[in-house]
Amino acid sequence: MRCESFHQNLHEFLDLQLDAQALSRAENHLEACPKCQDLVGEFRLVQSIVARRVVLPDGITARMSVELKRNRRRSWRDRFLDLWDRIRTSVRDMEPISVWTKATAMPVTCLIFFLLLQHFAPVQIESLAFLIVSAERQTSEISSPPLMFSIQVEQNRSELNGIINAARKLPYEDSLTLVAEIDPDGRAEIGDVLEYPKSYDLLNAVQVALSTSQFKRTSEVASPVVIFSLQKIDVYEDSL
Amino acid sequence: MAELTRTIASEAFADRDELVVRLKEGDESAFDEVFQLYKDMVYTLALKLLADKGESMDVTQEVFLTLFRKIHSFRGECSLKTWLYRVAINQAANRNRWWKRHLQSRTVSLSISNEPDRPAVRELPSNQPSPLRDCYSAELRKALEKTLSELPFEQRVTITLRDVEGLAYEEIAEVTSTSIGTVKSRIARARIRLRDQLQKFKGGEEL
Ligand SMILES: [Zn+2]
Repeated sequence: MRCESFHQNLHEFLDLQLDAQALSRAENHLEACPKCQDLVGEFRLVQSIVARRVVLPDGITARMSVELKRNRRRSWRDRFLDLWDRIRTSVRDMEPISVWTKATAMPVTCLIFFLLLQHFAPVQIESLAFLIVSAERQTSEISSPPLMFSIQVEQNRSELNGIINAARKLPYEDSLTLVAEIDPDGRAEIGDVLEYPKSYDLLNAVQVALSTSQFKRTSEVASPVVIFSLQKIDVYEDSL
Repeated sequence: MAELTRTIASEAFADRDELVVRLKEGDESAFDEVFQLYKDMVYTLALKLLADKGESMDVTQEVFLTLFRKIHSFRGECSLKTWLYRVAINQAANRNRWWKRHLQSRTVSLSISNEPDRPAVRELPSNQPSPLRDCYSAELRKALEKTLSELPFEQRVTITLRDVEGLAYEEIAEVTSTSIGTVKSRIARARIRLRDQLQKFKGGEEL
């Protein structure tokens, strides 16, 4: 084995992901090659520095534990009372004139905000690329190419908004793949999720949207049909 | 691929099912148990991704709050640990962007504001079997940690899941929803950058 081929599998070697045969070949080379030994040494040093763990300091742990317990238990009533308390105290501490200014300013701000929302609210679903890429009829003849036909989704804004909102919250590009069965009435039922998204909220949102959306098949096929559908949701917000 | 994903989810990652059941039942002690069990893991992960102690502490708290509040929607398709990884990575990614946008202008972090003179981080010896562990200087460590913090976010995630958490390539691919090929290339790119830094550092020392 030459250095080049050792380098090719270097990271698998470092990560103990080589199979027995490849491993013994790599080890044989390493034994005889001081240059590669140096290289491995350097990478192992890098690994060991990256691998350093830390523990949450005891004081922080204790405080966080208390904090978590409190927040978990807070009921809606508590939260409302808290908010009310805050508003009351802040109003009490204000100058009377300031209270009036704020009281007038608030509805105006709300109105502007509402108008802005109206203006920006409609989000093009295309920008999130919610696509049903292909539909394939399940067939026993494996040799025959899959029968492709398109299905249309009657886009109901409110249903798809769930997906948009779930997708918007994701910092990542996220995708999922699932198999859905479209019944003769055009309702989809998810049979199997082949690729889970990182976010379960997203999966839930897609599940809801699929179960409430109406599908139309554009070509005639015997029903019920098991379709293989691909949904891909991409979020391009910032380049990470 | 689906089969593979499922196998990973059910075998290598199958942990503490009964803990999840107790969480869903609202068992108070289960919440504490989960927190104690995974707090350092989440904190370490966050710190590697954000390179900021206060931010990482906030993320840690947020992750467990999310877990406790959303445990009912946790369906057990992946293990609790995988779920925590994902939540932590998402939270860190959010903050990472926020952080960048605000040009790292300092905000006072709640979790460290009243902890005046105590060191915020206590170090644990790494569990990696490495004879080199004690051979490097603190300066080198800092230099490499800085380089790590400057890597693209995905590379940081991948290298951390690999070298800190010791996940196999398949598991990393599952957590980050990418292919094994992508995982491999991210690991390689991250390590090459880090090694370059190591060499620069060595060169600097010799001068
Ligand atoms: Zn060699």
